[in-house]
Amino acid sequence: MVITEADDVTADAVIAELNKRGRCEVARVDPGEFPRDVSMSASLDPESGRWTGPIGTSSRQFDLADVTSVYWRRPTPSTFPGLDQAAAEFARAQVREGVGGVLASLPNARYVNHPHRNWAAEYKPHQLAVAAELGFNVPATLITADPAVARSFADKHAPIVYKPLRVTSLVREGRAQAIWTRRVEPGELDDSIAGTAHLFQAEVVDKVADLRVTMVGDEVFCVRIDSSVDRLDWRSDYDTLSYQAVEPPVGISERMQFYLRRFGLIFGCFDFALDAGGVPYFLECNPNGQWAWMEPPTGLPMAATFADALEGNL
Amino acid sequence: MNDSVPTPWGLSRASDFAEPAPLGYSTVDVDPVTQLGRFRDGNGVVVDPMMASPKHGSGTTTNPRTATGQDGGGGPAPDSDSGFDSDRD
Repeated sequence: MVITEADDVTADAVIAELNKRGRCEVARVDPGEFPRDVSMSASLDPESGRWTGPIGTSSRQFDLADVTSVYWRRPTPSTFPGLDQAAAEFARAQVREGVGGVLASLPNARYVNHPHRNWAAEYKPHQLAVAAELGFNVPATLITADPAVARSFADKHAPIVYKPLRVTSLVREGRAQAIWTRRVEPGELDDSIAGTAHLFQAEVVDKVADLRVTMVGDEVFCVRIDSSVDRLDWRSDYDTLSYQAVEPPVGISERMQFYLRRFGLIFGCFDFALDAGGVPYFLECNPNGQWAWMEPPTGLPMAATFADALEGNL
Repeated sequence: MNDSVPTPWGLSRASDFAEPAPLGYSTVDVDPVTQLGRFRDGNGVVVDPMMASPKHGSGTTTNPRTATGQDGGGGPAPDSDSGFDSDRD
């Protein structure tokens, strides 16, 4: 069962691979279409604690008990256009807990990844703490709303960068906005630091490249990302990037395995900054990160490996 | 007593997001047989969503649709796609 919306070409790559192998039947389900285009009636067996019952989309009908694996990609929130805001929020929360909750509680299914594990693994403070504990190189980090503390951190660790703790949708004058990781220049810090929690990090100096390492089970896909311009945050301009499959730096594969196990994840996308000495610095691990755009330029068989994981062959 | 706090400093770091490649399709549904997304243009013709997103004019950055922060198009989104259950606020 692939939990995602119709517009998800990353899921398509994995579904196409599963179809090609022909060993399992794929059902694509977006819980956000409940209760209009997705149906489900789940019954709990009080003896076994198992949820059973029919679930259906416009093209698939099956029983919850028959689900062997779940690829949790990008479900949408359900919409209730006919309801007022409070009623819609109530209805949406019932779907989230009722349908999403059952789909996250199928006892015989392997999850890539389990949505609750993803949720828990998304918090950057927890990521950095676990990474440091496991022996990754982690830049000095500060989270504060105190301008004086931020200035003192900047004095001690300059150059420093700012990155948002969590990305939200921002629009200014009708144009989508992003907050990329950028150096904080001296004098840029001001008293509006007091407005919310801000994350500052010592910049990885002498950074020569980034590593985006996708780990699926014990399979490691390490991609070196080089930029033709000097950038801290490669996401800000894909046109300047080149990709190369490389061997992971010594020691990080084991640590990434420990990291995934600690968070109960089957896969994760790790971001490292590589300095001139070849030392990788842990920046973050996205528990449900993107990987499909790196497959064509590198030839790495990532979609096939996700299919292996869903078939239970990893 | 003034309960207000300033507009967060972090917001001053926002800048225009590189536009996603223009969508080469107008609708998408799920193919009932393959369970793949089925993208159609304005004439109802099935198109390849990856091929149907040509880069446009010079000076405009177009990011791959499966890239981080970009999957699904329509502006920056969290890299993580938990969606349904990440509604934690």
